[in-house]
Amino acid sequence: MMSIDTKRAKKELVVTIIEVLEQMVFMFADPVDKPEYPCNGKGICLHSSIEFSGVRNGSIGLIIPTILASDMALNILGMEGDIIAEEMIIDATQELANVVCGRFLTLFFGDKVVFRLNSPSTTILKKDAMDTLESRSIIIGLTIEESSMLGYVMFKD
Amino acid sequence: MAYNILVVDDSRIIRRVLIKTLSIANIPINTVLEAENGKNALELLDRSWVDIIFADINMPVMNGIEMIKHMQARDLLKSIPVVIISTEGSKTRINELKSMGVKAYIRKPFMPETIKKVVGELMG
Repeated sequence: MMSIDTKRAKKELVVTIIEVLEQMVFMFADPVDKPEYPCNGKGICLHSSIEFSGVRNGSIGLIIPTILASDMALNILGMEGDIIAEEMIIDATQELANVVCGRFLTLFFGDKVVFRLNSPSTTILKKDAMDTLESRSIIIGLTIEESSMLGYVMFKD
Repeated sequence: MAYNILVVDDSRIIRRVLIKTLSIANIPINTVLEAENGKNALELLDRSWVDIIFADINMPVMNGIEMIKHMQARDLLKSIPVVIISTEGSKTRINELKSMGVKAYIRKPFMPETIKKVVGELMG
């Protein structure tokens, strides 16, 4: 099984997420040196992830505060205002995870490799679960406007 | 001529964005039908005629590839142009889809110009 260049994975995950956010959500993000749980005292964090299988198996996920996720869903739909159905917010974060996953895998493994992607899922991520995630995955942090979010890729052994 | 269009994607938000994009691209539309998976789409195709299908690959219940295989096995359905809209960037997968009769492949996120160009090329 091919080994993973963690440094390259981190760099390419940052590039992928920033591009997807610009093209799909019309938001501009900047990477941070030390990723931190984005919901410390700031509401609830949605965790949308998608599993992939192929030459390597694993998952890719996004951790986004609900307020930011709501703005993202509104931007995707081109809607103004601040009220949007919860299911649309979840759908938006799942679709973002889906697009990030497809793009990252092509960037990292090349365009000759075929991966199978499962349907994305969403949960609420609490701080203690975040610690486990940090120890098992390649994780990156981004600031967007006055908020922040995390992205990660986790390869199974 | 206004088109009957079928949009097949398990993401409601993507279906909504695609329908909006078709409108922004000034594509003349008669009706837009929506399905959340391939099985649902085949059921709609049993009772409605469509001119073009936009479909995702990865969907629960029945994915886009299985849907195309079912369509290819039926004379009335195999002539309907299918455009795949997906996140996947594998050339191997794209070539496989084209060999199955898929007319075009658009990678998410998509732009109105791309949708318009593809519809123009396919529908003349």
